[in-house]
Amino acid sequence: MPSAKLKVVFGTLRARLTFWISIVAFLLVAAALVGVREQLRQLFVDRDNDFIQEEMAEIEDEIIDRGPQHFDDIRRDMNYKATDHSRRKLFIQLFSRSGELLWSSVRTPDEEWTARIVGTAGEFIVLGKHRVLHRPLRDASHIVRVGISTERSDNNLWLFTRSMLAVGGVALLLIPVIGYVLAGRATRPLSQIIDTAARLHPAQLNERLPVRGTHDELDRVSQTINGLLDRIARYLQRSREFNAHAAHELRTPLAAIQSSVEVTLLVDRTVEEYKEELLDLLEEFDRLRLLVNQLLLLAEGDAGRLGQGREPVRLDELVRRAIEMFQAVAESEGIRLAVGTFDAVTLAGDATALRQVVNNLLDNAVKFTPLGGSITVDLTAEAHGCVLRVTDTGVGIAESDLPHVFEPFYRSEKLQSSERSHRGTGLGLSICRAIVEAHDGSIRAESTPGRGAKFTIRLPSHPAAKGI
Amino acid sequence: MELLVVEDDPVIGRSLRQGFVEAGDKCVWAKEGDHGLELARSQQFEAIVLDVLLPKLDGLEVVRTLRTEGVKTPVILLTALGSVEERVAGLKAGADDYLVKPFAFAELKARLEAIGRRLGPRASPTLQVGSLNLDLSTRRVARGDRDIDLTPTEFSLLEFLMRHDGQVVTRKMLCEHLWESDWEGSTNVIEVHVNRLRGKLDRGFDQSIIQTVRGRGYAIREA
Repeated sequence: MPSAKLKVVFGTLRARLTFWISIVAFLLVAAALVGVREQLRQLFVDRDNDFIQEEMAEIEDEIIDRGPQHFDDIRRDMNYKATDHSRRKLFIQLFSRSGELLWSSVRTPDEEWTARIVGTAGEFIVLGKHRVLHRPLRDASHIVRVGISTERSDNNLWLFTRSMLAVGGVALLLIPVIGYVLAGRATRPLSQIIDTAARLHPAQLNERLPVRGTHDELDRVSQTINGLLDRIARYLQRSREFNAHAAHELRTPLAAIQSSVEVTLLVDRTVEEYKEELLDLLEEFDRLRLLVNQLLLLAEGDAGRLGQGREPVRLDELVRRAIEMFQAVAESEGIRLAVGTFDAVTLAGDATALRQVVNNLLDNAVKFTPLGGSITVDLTAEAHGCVLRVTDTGVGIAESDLPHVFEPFYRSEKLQSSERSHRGTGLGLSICRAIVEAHDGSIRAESTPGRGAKFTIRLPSHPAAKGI
Repeated sequence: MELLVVEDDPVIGRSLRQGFVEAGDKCVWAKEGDHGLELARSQQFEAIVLDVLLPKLDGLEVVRTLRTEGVKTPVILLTALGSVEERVAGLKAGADDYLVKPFAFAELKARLEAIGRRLGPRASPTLQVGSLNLDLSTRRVARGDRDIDLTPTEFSLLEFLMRHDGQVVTRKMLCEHLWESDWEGSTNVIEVHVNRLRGKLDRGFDQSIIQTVRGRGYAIREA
């Protein structure tokens, strides 16, 4: 559609810049030309007026010096004068004091107004194509009128106006072209940014937008977008690693299922054997289900949809219930599970999600604390939130592992072999972090290897409501 | 029970029907939403098991239509979508319960019976399984003529098992009932609680009244 195409062309920044540059430039040129013309016209008028004044003074002197008895000579001189200034078409008229026309020189135009006095004495007026002035002589004997044609000035002014229109026309043609070129230069960095950005692909985010070092707005645009690209690249990298890891983790139970089913079907077996096999499968499925559920939970966290519920939660009650839940298992493992400082804390949050956090931490603590050890839970109220601490006297976390414990699937090298019976999904702590961060809180791990670990969670009383 | 199952996945649909029929229920299986809606309108069922993502007419739409037409048959929604919003949307549409795939058949069965009971007459204040008695009003538990002292957690655990007398109760169901959490960790939290309860109940008896059903959960029955 042509109209849509026009819209695209005129919708560009370059086109709009060109348009406005042209309008402004043209108006400036037009105003300058009109101003000059007006000055010129005024100049011509002043020159004509001066000329008339001078002639008037000479005539006055001549009439008064010679006296009325030499009227014939005076007339002859005046006719000479009129002939001398034929280009200006000078004419002279004499009137009596009462305004009666006595005499007209040669070249007096044949117009109706030449027979009488028009206008006020001493003031220039334009009559037809003539500029005239009349006034009484100093001895008040006569009234003299001097006039010249305005044609010469008009012609000169017209000459100027014509070249002015020509210049204006050329300007009208040239300005948009120049404007288009200038706008192009101004927007070229922008076009480069657009071209580079168009080339970017999520799979190859190593290219960056050009920064020219001019520190202008366009440089800032490039830098801002480059910063965003860096963050996206890091995020995608993490996401890719996570996906690869998740697929890998899913493979293990799938492999177990496949091989055991195939082996079972190799030969005919008794009903009891088949039953045993199916029960094994059911346990494998449980592992798969747990893994998939936790992966979904993390995906929700990534999408910012984790722990969105905002209702008043009695955190102390919630923690107490969790301790009660783990009390039996702790006792059976010979671990003392107890509370230290325990304040009443209410905060706005998602109870189900927060329960996950506490359960995961207690689960970890029980798992890694040996017989005779202890786990202490502290809940401290603070001015605008609370601090929850789970401290155990377990094996602890190696210094090299500490920065990574909240990463999905991160497992310590040492634990992988010795704690096989406690094999979890490797997602528990990353789920904790996702939930705590969804509540605008923070989670931290500290440890003295061999002496125990301490997890500290800080939660605000009123986390920002998450938009749904 | 007379049940209607609306499920487009052939394996899930077939296994559900088989499971219900072998448990002694009557079961009709529809593979499409509109067909399920027709059946639910024309026949009297005791409960409907309804998948959310269905061809032709989705599960939420089926429940909504049934409820606006005044059909009050209890409905359990099955779905692979487990977020809170999905759950809320399902219940808002008029469903009575909501189960996220994958689920244990035992749990679906238990929930269907819970729905039936909710609508039926109130349960009596005492529960009995074999020689074991539990009085809900006095919170007294006795096996034979011996009184048993239980902690509140153990009492709730036993009550839940006895309400599902003869059925399998999964660890997930127990965890949800006792601690409002569908948490599943690596430590055997539930096992330890069940073992303690078992220890108290079985003292002086040769046979355990709580059976471990391997790969599935627990069941209470006098052996």
